[in-house]
Amino acid sequence: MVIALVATLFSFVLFRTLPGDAVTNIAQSPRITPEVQAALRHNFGLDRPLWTQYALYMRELARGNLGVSFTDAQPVSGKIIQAAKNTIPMALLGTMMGIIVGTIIGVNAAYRQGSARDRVITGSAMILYSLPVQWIGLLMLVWFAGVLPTSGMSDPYLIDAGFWATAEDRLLHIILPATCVALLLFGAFALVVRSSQLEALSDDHVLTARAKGYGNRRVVWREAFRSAMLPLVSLSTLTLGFLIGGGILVETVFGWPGVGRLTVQAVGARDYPLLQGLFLVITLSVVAFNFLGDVLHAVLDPRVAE
Amino acid sequence: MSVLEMRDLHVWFDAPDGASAHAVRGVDLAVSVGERVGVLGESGCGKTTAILAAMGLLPSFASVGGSVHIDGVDVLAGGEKSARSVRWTHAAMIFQGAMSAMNPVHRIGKQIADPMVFHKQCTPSTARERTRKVLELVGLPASVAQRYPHELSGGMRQRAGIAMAVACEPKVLFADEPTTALDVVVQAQIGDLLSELTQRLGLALVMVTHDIGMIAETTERAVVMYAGVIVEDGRTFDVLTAPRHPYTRLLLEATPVVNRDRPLVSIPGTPPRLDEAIRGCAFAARCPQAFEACTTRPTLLGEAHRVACHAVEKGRFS
Repeated sequence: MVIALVATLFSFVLFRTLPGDAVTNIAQSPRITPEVQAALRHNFGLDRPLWTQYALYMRELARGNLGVSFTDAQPVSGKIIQAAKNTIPMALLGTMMGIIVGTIIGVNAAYRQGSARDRVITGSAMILYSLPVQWIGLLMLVWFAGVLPTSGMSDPYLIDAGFWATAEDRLLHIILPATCVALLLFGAFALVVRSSQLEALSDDHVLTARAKGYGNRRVVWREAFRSAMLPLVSLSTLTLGFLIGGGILVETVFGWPGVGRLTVQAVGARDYPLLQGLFLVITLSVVAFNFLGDVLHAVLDPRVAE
Repeated sequence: MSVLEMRDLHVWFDAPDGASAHAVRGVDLAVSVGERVGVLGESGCGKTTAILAAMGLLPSFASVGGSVHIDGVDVLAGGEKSARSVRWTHAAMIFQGAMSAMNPVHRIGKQIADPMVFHKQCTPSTARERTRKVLELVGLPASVAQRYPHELSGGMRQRAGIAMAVACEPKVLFADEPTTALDVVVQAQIGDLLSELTQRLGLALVMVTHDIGMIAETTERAVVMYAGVIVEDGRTFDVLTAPRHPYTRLLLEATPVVNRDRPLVSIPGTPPRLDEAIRGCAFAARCPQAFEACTTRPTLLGEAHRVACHAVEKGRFS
């Protein structure tokens, strides 16, 4: 709650300290006279003192009103909800793929520490982890252009198609951005899982499990990984929190109309109400996912629950 | 009939740089049904390594030679598979750190019951029933099954560890310093429990410890190890009251005695390095009785009370 409050204040002040405002862009059009500019500013309330603007914003926020966008006069909440609807499936799918592949590969690397397989896995995870996202995204664009749709989330010419055709179209569109998210996360997850699994494998209770006659698979997954998954859970929820806030680079590269791209557009247009709304939503999602992480931690580790 | 038989057991630990430490250098030990054996010796003498090797539990950088039969099964011959076939159903183990030897995220009951189901000894519901019985057997209330390891005291945890080990009705119970992490009163209780339980269930016990008091209380036979070999082997009472090997004598003398005003004694020198070949008797360098013959390796000789020492053999010292 406190964090959310601080976030509103911070985003409010931050965007208003940027040079230029919503009218500056429009003002580049030669037909716009200073009088029209002033009228626009008055309309948006930008001529009032800052603290009055903030007080008004907070009053409306308390009523659940995020205001209207400066660019198209649409309610901010509706725009954000629409963008989040687009972002969430892509971010979830990508994160899931990244977590599952990263986990399996990380556990495998830890199983034979120092082996050739471990070195190859650790090396490639390290490389993927250090590559810039937008570059991976651009490479994917280059390689898969023509094979898979590279931009947007649906084919604009697909009109009145049946349910299955629409579903297929959506699925094809989601593959590249979601895979890009997965690649971006895979390295980090593989490395984190590998190191915590290595630690767990050297625990005494793993020796007990082997003494009980359990097979390797059971020892590795049900005994060692069960206690090694705690850092993974923290990392996953943290990552999801940020991703719902928009994988800005991924969404920009693939033209995905989600929260990240909306943020970029709002910054370009100095759309204060939209930006403030977005920041609030992003903050809340990070806080909410952190909370979820803590809850999961307590569920998974009885020692934390106390 | 012996339920556990180690023959010429060797263990080498291979370092990545090609060096190798010969930690167990030929151990012969036969334990009969229901026999309680204590293995005594200072740190690094290969006690724990030997019992881990007997269950095939050593890490992959260890190589093992010789043979181990548990309940008639050749543990080392068939690799991991034959070792797995004896684990917990024929030979179970109680570990040193009662805290860390249990999985912190599973309830005690599950950790006791799971192996029974895994080894197809019974259905999950009978396993729960048997879990209650073994908890009762070690003097714990059945409600402990619902607890997590961190919710128990050290003594309770070690009791639960014992319950876990006897749940699948093994023939041999290995105990690796089962009481080191506990306070003295609890140590005595665990010792009593172990000796009572193994007698009641007809289990053979092989207990590794530094604690001479524990050996005296819980075992009927004592084996003394030094630098990876057995140097003395006899009835616990004989070994502790009339030790024959110079090392055993010095070891027992070094035990501090309460209520007696006497300076602490120690055995001068240190055990030999295991990464270099040991010629002759490993203890010769520290032994007050050493003479020319000690440059060859002594064999374990005798009937009921066996000892590996040239000086004893030649009657130079008794």
